[in-house]
Amino acid sequence: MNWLMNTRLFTETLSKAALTRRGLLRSAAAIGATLVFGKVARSEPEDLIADQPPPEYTLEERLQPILAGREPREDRVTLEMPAYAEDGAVVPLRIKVDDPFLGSGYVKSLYLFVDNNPDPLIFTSKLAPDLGSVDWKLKIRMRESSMVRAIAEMDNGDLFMDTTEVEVSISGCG
Amino acid sequence: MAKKISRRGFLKGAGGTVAGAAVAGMAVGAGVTALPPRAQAAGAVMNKKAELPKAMGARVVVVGGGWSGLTLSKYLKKEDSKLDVVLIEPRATFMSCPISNLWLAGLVDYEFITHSFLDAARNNDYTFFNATVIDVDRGARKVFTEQGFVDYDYLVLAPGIDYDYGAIGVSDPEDVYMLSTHYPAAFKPGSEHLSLKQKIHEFEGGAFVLTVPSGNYRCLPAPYERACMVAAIFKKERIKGKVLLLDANPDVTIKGPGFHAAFEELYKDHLEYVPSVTITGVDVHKKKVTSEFDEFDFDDAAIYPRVRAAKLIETLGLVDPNSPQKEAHIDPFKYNVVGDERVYVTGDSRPMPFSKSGNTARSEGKFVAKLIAARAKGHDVEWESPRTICYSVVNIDPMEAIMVDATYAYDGESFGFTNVKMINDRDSIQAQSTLEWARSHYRDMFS
Amino acid sequence: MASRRKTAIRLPRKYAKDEVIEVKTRIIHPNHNGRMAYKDQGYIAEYYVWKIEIFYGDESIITVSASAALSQNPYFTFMLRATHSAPLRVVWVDTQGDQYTESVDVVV
Repeated sequence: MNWLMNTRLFTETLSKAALTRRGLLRSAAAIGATLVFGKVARSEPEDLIADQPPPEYTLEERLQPILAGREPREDRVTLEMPAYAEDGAVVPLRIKVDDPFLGSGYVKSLYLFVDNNPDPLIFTSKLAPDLGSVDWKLKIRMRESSMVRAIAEMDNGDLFMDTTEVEVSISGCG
Repeated sequence: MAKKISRRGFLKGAGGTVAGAAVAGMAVGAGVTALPPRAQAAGAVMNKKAELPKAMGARVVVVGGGWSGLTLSKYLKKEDSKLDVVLIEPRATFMSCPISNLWLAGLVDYEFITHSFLDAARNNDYTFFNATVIDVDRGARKVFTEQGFVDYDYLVLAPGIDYDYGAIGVSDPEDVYMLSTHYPAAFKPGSEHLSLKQKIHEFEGGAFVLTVPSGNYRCLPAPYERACMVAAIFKKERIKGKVLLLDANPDVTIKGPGFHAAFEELYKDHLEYVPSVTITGVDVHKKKVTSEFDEFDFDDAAIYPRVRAAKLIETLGLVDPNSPQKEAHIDPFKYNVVGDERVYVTGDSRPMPFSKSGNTARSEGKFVAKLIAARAKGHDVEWESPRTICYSVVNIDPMEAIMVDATYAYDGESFGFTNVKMINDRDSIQAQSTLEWARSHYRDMFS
Repeated sequence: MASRRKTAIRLPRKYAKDEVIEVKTRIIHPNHNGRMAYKDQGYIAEYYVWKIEIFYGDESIITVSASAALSQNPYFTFMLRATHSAPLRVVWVDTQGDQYTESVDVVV
């Protein structure tokens, strides 16, 4: 199985897992639709309660399918994060890739992992060949202090990685 | 606003003293110019015993006459009348931060939130010393003020908060001066509040920006309550303006359903709530707030920057190096500075994640008074959680409020809320309770 | 509450043809990760944006497939070479299957 397939499977697994767990949900306010003054009051998705938290994954489980035996080089990618994150619910990060469009090569995918999160895989992604530059900013949740790793995959399959250690004082994962 | 703010004008007007002081300060910092003779003599004044009544028992000096310091002073005497208590406070008049939003909206008068430190000291048998603390010698157990030093057996520091403008991208001292003078936060009661009230009542229309900082800022619900009060005035006075409430947090930080309901049901035309706004700068001259995502133009504003522990804590070298808000390094259960059971820090300079609010400070103050009184006799007492009771008025006509009542539990790693009672459905009963709550606290502190 | 899921895109005020520009996007979304306890009755259910897809004209140029660890009110900025005039469209898809689309025109 090549890495492209793996990426696709990942995204499908992510969405499917979320959908099937809906069977266990119940509303915090009321179950199902209620008639209030002639209007149907639907319970909002943000008010739903689950019996169990989602499953946890190990870094191995999440990282190996993406590495697929390849060893990432530790250059070209820069991951900028605060060394000390006050609030784990909102940790800013920036990922840059040097000369991502050198010659005929381009960044095909970016991946982000937080080693100590309940699910260490934060995102996978696909990029078009002609973006001109790779410089992304996002904000993520971190459960606790952890190593964070950004991996860039070139169209020829080469991997580049940068890691950084982030200390978290207030957990962002409940 | 009628007057246009000009940086040039500011420099010209205040220039003589401000620029002069800045130059002198830099020169002294660089070790070039010595202080003039009378300024040098100030050191000699500081080094004399302050003119206070003689201590009749073990002396506890309390620094800071806010809700924490006033409560401690009173309850130290209640715990043990033999203790000699001195409250040092630089302000001459007490103005309450709790309830000040109601005063902004005209729901209570100035006398309701303003009180006399003299009444508090006289009625509760402690000494009020209207002075500013410059330094502390923990070895010699002396507190130095500009009017001389005071010896202590126990020292409690309750100096409150200062603002951290750097956290919202305003670092240049001149810019900080301009921002804090023209668009004061009004979370340290006094002139800031008087300015804000004037701004609100003179507002002619457009966008009035209020901000909610990140971190553990003073009084979590207060910025939302204030937004409701200002919007209520605009609505009542039919002003074509609205409050633009820029929140650094992803959602309302406390009593969310109650505030959201008020925003949507009462102030749809006069209040816009914008979550997740990370402010990166404020341009006082262009009247513009920049964030990492958007820019917001305003006609007037009260910019509440991030909060840190009062600078006195840093001056005295008591900051916890792990505290992002420069709070004190103390035992979280005993409040004493780590390694020094003679010095305590309470109120909004504490590092524990308790609400930086009046009821919290008062319940904590009672506990720390009990603890110090016990320790002075060689005993100890078990930790008691502070209690946060906090009403927020969200409607002025009729007056209606929401509330939260909670204590804290320690799970071995951190503190969290427990026994939470929250009333998010606004009603007039809660509004009456708000006033009763305030009256009883003022009565207890001042009479 | 779908109306509360406001989305937004921001482009620089000025840019030239073929300039690489920063594009900022965000959505107001609770993005529950399913791990927050709800009183003593279980957990606030997972409900988050699992896909962000960016279209430039008809071409899908970036797809981010996320787990539940993006922050509340997800925020994403990226770089784009403004090669031609075309709509730039951001589609956020959450775990309830709801899609939120926002579009601006890139004009060069």
